[in-house]
Amino acid sequence: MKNITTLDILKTLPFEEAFKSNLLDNFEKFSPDQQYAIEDIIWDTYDSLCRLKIEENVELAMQKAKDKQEVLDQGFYDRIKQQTEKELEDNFTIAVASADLSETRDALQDIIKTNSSKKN
Amino acid sequence: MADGPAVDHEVSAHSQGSSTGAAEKVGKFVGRIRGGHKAQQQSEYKTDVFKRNFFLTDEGSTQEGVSNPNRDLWRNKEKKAAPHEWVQFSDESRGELSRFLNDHLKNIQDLRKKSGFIPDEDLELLKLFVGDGAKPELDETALTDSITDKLNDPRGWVLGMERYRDVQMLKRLALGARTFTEIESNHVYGIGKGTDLTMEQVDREGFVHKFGREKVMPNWEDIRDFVAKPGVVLAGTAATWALANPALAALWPAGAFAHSALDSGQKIRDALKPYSDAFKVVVADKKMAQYVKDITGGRIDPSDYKVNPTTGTLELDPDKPYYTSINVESVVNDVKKGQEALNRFNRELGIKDFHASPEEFIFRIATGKSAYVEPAPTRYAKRIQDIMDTDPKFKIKDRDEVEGNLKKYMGARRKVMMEMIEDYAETIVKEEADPKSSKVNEKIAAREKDGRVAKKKAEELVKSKERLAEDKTKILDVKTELTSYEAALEPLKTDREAIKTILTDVLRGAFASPEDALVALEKLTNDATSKDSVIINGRPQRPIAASLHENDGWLEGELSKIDAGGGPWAKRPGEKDTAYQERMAGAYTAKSTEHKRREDRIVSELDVIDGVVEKIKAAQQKITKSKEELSESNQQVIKMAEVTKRMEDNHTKIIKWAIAGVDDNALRTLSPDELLEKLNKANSKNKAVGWKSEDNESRRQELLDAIVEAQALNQESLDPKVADRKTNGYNALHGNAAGQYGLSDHMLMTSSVAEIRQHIDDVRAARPTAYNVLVDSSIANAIAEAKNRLRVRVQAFGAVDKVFDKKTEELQGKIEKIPEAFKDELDHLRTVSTLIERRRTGISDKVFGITASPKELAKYTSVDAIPKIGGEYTAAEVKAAAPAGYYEILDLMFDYKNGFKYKITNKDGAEEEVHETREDYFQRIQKLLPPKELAQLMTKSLSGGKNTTDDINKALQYISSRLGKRQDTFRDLRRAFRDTIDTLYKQTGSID
Repeated sequence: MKNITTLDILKTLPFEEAFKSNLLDNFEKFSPDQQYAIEDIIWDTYDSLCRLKIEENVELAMQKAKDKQEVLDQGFYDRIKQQTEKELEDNFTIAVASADLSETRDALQDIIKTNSSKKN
Repeated sequence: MADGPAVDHEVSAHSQGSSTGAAEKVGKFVGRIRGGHKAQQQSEYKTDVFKRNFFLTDEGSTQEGVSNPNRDLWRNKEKKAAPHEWVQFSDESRGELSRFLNDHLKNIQDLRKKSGFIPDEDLELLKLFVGDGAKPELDETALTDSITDKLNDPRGWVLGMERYRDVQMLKRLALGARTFTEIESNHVYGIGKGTDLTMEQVDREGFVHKFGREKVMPNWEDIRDFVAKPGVVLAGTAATWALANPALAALWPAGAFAHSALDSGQKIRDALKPYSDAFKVVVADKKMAQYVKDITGGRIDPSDYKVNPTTGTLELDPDKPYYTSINVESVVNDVKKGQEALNRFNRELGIKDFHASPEEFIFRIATGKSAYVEPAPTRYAKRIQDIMDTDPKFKIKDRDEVEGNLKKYMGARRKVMMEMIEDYAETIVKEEADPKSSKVNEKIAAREKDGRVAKKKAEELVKSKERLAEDKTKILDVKTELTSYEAALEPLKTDREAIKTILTDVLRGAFASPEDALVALEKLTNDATSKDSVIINGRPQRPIAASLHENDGWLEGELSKIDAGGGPWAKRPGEKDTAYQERMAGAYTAKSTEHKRREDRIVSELDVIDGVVEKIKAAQQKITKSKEELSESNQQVIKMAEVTKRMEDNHTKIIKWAIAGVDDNALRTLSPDELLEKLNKANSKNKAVGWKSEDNESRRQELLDAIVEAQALNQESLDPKVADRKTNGYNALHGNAAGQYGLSDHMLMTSSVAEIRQHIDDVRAARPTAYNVLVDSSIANAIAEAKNRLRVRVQAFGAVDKVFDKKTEELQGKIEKIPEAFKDELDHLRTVSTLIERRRTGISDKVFGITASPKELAKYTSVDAIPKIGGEYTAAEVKAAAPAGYYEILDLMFDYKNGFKYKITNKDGAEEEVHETREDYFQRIQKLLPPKELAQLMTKSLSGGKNTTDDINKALQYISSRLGKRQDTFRDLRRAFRDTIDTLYKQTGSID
């Protein structure tokens, strides 16, 4: 399986595009200290988003439980957490793939633009 | 505007006269009065009802109705005044502030009188309440009146409450951890009960989780642990996103501490560090420390604290009894009361409980910002509310649509979170990142040739070497005192040798003492009745007193016989008269000649006897003279006695501190600096042992004395006769116990056996039963031992000198090989540097692949033994005898199987590449991260401290199981590596 890198994660995070591009484009130019700190930010942000999602799903499940649509048994928390983790992982790999595709598409567009300008 | 100029004048005075924060604030709010609220008149200005915008800006405040929903409060830096609202403070608030100001102003008036240090903020307060010109001091009544008057002025409230908060904060700082354990009970409670700052319970739970805890009790622990981390439980507001990163946490004042508190005791201590750092500044600044002491009426004395040189943390000074000056309970009560007052003040202003002040302070310190930090978490909660109010995507349309609304709420939180992180990341991009990598690399460079630490070390070693040279001189000076005394003994020794020679060589040892010899010799010439001969120079000398008399009688007798003419002296027949007379004359002459010959022989013998007697007497006279010169008042004698006693005493004293590791062996083998380090270290733990490093210079001689004495005792212990001499003689004559004679070494060394015998006899004659009987051999033993003691002490200096020479050589060797002194530190630093450098590409970027692939996971968590033969693993790896997964994890972290290359500056100053083999590299990293340590750090992080183990097999199984069952994710695995690296990095903090 392909490894997913820190910069892959950055690509999936819902930052403002300009901000994200700045980080991606300049990452290697940052000092080692900056890179180290930004790496933590990226991972902590992603981690926080995941936890927020789990929290959201726990609360939603609690609401469902009030309407008897969810069982409040001993496995409640693990169940919700694992479902959310799977959902997150699936979405994540799709998002990474999509980001890769997007990059490829951008690169292709650049080539097309360059070629067309050459033709002109 | 009729009253305007007066206000303007005040503004001008404040803003121009001082650049302090307080002055700026006063200027700011008066400025608002000028610029934004001109309708407000002076009559309103002096009142007990104030406009709320005197105290608050809208930025971040939570008063309902203040916000402009169209304004982006979070990102927009525009500062506009809040709408007008009125505030009237309660009598309780007024009373509390008046009481505080009364005490505080009195204290700072006193400080001003004695020209003590007063911060600018207090000067500002004095200006307003007391004045700074014509009335430098107010009496109690005038002060009370002034306070009452000025508290009808919002400036009085603003400045007063600012100082109230500051003093409150100083008290909190002084209390340290107790602030959290005892003060914030409305906020977080239970910390500190039972074990080391663990969290037992948190209030303010959101209804959902309260419901969950009550209904889903079996899983509560997990739920609590989980939800606690994002801070949900604590805040119950939008402040719930994960604050796992302490740096990000700093952006979230309300949650920062709470999160840390929930995480673990260690994090609590980490969270307290900025507190400690802040107070360190106070402790270090003498002026400030005195100020704190003065304004707290002496109840908080920062000198009770000191900075631990090893850990850099703030501790109560172990040399002082704990809390000598801090009346902790009263300060705790003060702070509790103060907290209530601040909460009440804030509530009256329309702000929710001011429950976050410690965290705010941490925030201010941690971020280096001095700007006023408003009560949190209102700012961020408000931003979420704004988003939900203004962004259609998150706007709530149907209040009953719970699920959708919850998602919108979560969405808004996500959005705020991303905004916050972007802002934070921008500070990193602007070169404000925590310089972990730089710090470690700087420390490495500092230890290489000519680096900061290397140079310092070299200087220290050179100084140590110089001190050793000085020590050599010092001990030589002491040695001179003893050798000088020894030299003074020489004439006496020569005289005694001369007598000894006479007794042994001339008189063939027939007499024990010169006195006995003299008696016998004098008898030879004086006692006519004596028949005892004395051997002189191998010939028996008969008594000659009788011989002299006999010789004269013999001549008379012989002459009478001749005169009688009988026998051979009768005239022979036919003998002519002349012939007969001639024969008789010849007989007279012969007898006379014989008499003369006999007399000459006797005189000659007398001369021999007298010669010996004279020699003995002359030597005795010399001895008497030498002894007179060596009386107890002689300076050399005094010095010798002083030095030997001092050496004994100092040795006895120091050797008692065995707990410091300074025993006889250490004294004989270590250098004074090495010994002092031990004594100083022991003293830092127990002040009854050793002494402080500040006293090293003044007490160095004590140590040098002990060092020489230890060498002397060692030499004594090597002489088998010492014990016998002490037991049979020395102790009885030198000791001061009952029955012993208490003779000094000097007396023993300068007396003969006969003299001491005489002394003993005299003493015993007076008190026969009080003193022990001693035979002459014991007296001789005592004399010999006294002399030996001096000799071994003189020789001990030589032994010490040799040790010092050896130590000097060692120091020189260390100076020449400075980098080797830092090998362990460099190994540690280089290993951590590698981890910092490799963390992203080597570790973080691979964790997803590890958790996603069962085969990969199995590889890294394998508990199989590695093959001992076959060459796949080096000897060092085989020796480590760890499970296979350990080596794979180390390889992931360090890439050790490929060895390691790094550059150093060699002794010629040139850069040189060092290639560490796989085996050497493994040994280095294994030293830092042995199986036990790796197991502990990883499981501690993954289990939140609940399932920490130092058994690497169990740890690998735990990781395998958690990741295999997806109870943990690749994020958790990455966090475990991050925490491990952070811990190892933190350990480098103890390396300067």
